[in-house]
Amino acid sequence: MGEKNELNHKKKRMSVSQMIVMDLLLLAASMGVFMLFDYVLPQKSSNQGTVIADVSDSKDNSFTLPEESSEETKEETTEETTEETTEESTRSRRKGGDRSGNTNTTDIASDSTDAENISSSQVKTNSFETYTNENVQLTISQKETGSGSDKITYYVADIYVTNIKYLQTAFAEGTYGKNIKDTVLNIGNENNAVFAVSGDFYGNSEEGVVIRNGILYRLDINDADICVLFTDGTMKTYSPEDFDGEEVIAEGAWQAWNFGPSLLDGSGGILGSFNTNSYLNSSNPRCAIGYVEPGHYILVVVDGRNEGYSKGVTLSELAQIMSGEGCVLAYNLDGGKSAAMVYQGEYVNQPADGGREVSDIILIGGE
Amino acid sequence: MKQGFQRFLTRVLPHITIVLAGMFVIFWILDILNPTMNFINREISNKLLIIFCTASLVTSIVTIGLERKTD
Repeated sequence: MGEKNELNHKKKRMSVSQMIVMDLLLLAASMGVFMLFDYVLPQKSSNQGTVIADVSDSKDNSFTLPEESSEETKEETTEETTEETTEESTRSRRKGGDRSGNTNTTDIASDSTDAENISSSQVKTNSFETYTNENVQLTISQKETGSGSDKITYYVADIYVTNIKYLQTAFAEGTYGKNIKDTVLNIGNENNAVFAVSGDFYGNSEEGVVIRNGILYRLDINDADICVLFTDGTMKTYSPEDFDGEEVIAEGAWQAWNFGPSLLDGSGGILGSFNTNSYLNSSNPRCAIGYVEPGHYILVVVDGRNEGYSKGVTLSELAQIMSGEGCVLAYNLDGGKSAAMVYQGEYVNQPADGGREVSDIILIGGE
Repeated sequence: MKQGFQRFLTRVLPHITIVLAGMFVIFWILDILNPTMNFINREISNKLLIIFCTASLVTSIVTIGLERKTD
């Protein structure tokens, strides 16, 4: 009787191979559930934000638009050599102690060879689009440099606004939260955008500074640089150690992005090192915002991962592009498949692998 | 009830430990490939880590206890 029970007990047990298969299936199911909750299911936040800067009633034009586009930009095809920036600055950065931020960044030296590749090669301007109303002047150019497998194609939007309120941002579905995503095109259309580019994909992270259109949603500092656009039209970039949330709010923060790294030193020189990781530093499609002067900004989208059309750029190359466009400050936004530029309801660039849905955009609204 | 709990400790908990260990190995590999994904430092990962540690601890204690019993 006892032997029979023992035999039954043994029969019930799974073989080792069955057990391994079962564990692997459980692992796959657990990863699936994790991904579903963490990356797929939209999680709307109850956080409605706190208004910290209001320029909606501001009717005065703080900045003036340039009187006319220069003849140079009106030419259908021009060739220019980007000015070589000789001034390079170095930056020493104190890391945030034991704090482990959500970007796992470190100081990665900028590569002067990469930057020289851009500065020494001829940049060809192929086409342009212009949009002007009484408050906004926007010029979009497609530029190419290099040839064959080294070819780089990028799009430059030269933006002038009379008031900072015309440089806006928007969330996917108009809602702040996690995993709430849509294409740049759709978010732009929902917000009547004439022009839009991808933002910093704030929804991909649980930490980071999020200030949009004068509303503060989040003020957690992670390991990434922070870029702040103020209501007076100035832009500043901060390392996580130098960032003081209260001070920035007191100064009138209008927008704040938290992706990075910062690319230029405040006078157009390429930083000696970038606060990033090796994955982000490689050749990729890019999106960046640059600051020339109050009311004058440059937004650049570089296409990539498409040999013969555009290979993408490293951060050093992106810094050189931004410097060459006349920016004194520049900041890298979310790139890769996210990098997209939209004008008048159509994609301007060719997003890598068809692009991806993002959580936020930077836009210029229509009249 | 007691038998059910014992069965859970000896039969189910080791598999939970294996699955959680596998998940963290995958997180670790994904974080190497793309550090910005930051799987290991997420809030939900911290909760899973606590469950993993507890499961490992209990499994180890039960295994040692059973080993001593059979000796």
